[in-house]
Amino acid sequence: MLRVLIVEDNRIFREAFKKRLDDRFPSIVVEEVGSGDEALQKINTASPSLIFMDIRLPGVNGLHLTKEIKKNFPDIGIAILTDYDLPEYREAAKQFGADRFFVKSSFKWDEVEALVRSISPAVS
Amino acid sequence: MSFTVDGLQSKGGVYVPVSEHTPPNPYLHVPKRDVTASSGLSLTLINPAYMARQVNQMAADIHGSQGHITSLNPVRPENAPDAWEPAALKSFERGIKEVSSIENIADKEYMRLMRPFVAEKACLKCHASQGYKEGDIRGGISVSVPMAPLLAIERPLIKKISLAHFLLWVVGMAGIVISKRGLEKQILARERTEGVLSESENKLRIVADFTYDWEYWRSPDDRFLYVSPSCERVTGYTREEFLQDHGLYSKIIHPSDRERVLTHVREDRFGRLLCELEFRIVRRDGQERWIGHACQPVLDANGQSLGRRASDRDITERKWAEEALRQRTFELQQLTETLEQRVQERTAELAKVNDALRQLSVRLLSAQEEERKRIAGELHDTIGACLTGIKFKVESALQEISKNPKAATKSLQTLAPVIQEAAEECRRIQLDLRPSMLDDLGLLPTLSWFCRRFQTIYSGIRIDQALTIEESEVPVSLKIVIYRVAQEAMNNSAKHSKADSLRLCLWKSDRRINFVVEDNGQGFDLENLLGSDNPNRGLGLTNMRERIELSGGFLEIESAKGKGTVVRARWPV
Repeated sequence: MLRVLIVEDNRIFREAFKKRLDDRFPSIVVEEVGSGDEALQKINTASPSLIFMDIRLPGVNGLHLTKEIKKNFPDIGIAILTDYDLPEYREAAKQFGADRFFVKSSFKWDEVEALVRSISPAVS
Repeated sequence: MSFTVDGLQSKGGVYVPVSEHTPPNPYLHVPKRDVTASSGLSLTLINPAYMARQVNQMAADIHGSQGHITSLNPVRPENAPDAWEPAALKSFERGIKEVSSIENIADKEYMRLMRPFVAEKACLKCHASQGYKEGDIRGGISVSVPMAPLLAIERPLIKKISLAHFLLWVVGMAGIVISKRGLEKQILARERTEGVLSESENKLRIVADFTYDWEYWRSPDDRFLYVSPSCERVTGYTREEFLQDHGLYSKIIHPSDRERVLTHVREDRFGRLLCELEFRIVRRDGQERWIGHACQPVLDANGQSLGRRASDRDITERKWAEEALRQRTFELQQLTETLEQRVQERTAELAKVNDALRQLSVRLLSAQEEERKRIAGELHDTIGACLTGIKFKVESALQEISKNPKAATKSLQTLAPVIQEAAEECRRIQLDLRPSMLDDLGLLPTLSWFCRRFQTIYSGIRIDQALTIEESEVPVSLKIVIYRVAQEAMNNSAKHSKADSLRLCLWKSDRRINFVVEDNGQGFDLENLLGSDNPNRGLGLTNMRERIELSGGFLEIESAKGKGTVVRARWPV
């Protein structure tokens, strides 16, 4: 069973994003946390295969957290979620080891679904 | 008896009738020794010695006394001297006129006396044959008087006299003893007085001679009557030198002070008051010393002047200390004046700075209000307007949804781009206020983004970036400062310089972070700009300087009309 973790401090966005995933893929388990510390704990307990990571988190930078997770769990896929559709952000996400880059205000859900399927092709 | 003999002697003898007692003298060899008087009476010449012997014989017969004519060269053998006489005869030859002593003859005391016979002219008639000359000691006539009858007469008298003498002796001795005691007392008293005087004099001498200061007494005619030995410590010259050379005193006075001191000596000589003076002397070793001089008159019981008594103290150290103090006071005074002047200058500067700060504060408040006004306007015009539009569209869709669900759905679908536009506006405003990229990604991506965005606005300006520093080398606190400097300098350049080229350099060198923004624009007169009365002119530059200096850095701006502008900031790290 595919497990997905959303790391986002904005509750409205986090819950909307989770609902959309739950609605689209009823078979996957979607976990959500609001901080970096909770994320690290959840990774240990829930063993997610995919993480949607915000950059601006309380007390920690999502890019740095990505780098750390990738160092310990290179198999976990990580997608950066950001407000800024800027090349500097894209470049930074790549440098810190993120697999994908989504701009919150403009990403296409098809891209998200394609990502989920790329990790677990049989997901429904 | 002597007279008798002498008388005869002068006559040379007398003729007497020859008798049993007066036979002719067999030792007299003179013509006419025996003559016969006209009456038929036989006469013989009695020479003086013969006469004397007869007289002696008569005296011996009558008084027991014995006479004796003698000589060391006797004519008659019986005239030879006895044991006592030779010594007397010899003493006559030494000029002694009479010899006497108490002698024992046959255990009896005799008073023995002897006088000389001096050879006279008459004597030489008989004795010239013996070799005598006139004036020679021919011999002597001695007499020995028995002392017994005299002592018998004398003894009671002697007793009385002895008693009297004894009494006199006792009285005398008593007197001597009493006088001695009296004298002893006087001597003792005198000795005591002398001792007290000596002790007193000794004390006075010690007091005078052991003074630390140079003490002296000068007569009315300026001679030294007393000089304490301490003069040597003060001047290097001995007391004897001052006492011998009365002009030495004026010689050792420093030439600059001499006239003043000598005037005092001349004019105050008979003064009756204490005089005090300070002057310099030159010691024997050439050293210059300060003297504190005090003198007062010495008067006798009648008020007559005996000169002046003076104390000269070496006050060099005190004078030096005074001089040093005076110097320090002077320096202090100058320092105080300098300080006061500096305080005044500082106060003026502070007042100026205070005034500038107040103006800045006013300008900042004004700028802050302007900024709020601008943001409020932007929010109102962009996000506010979008949200209002969205609200109307949602409300109308909700109304229509039951009647015409398709139209309502279509209407709602048009909302997505509007909402996205609002979100974009929100991010733009947010980036303008403070780019979150600075915190998310760091300074270098933010500067890169800013330059790119700047160029999209000011496309005519070419930007050259030389950001050679590593992100990790920039202290977090400096990131926003450098970003604001870049923002301010580039915006100023774009708005005022008409430059077509900008260069940004950020590098680290020798524990220093350097940031330079340089343009090739028309430049500006910096003093004119900062000295402007318009409170808003130069505000950006002032803010930039404040930011840099508050973060521990330094700002230099080089600009001149037509020569571009260089903004240089550096921070020690």
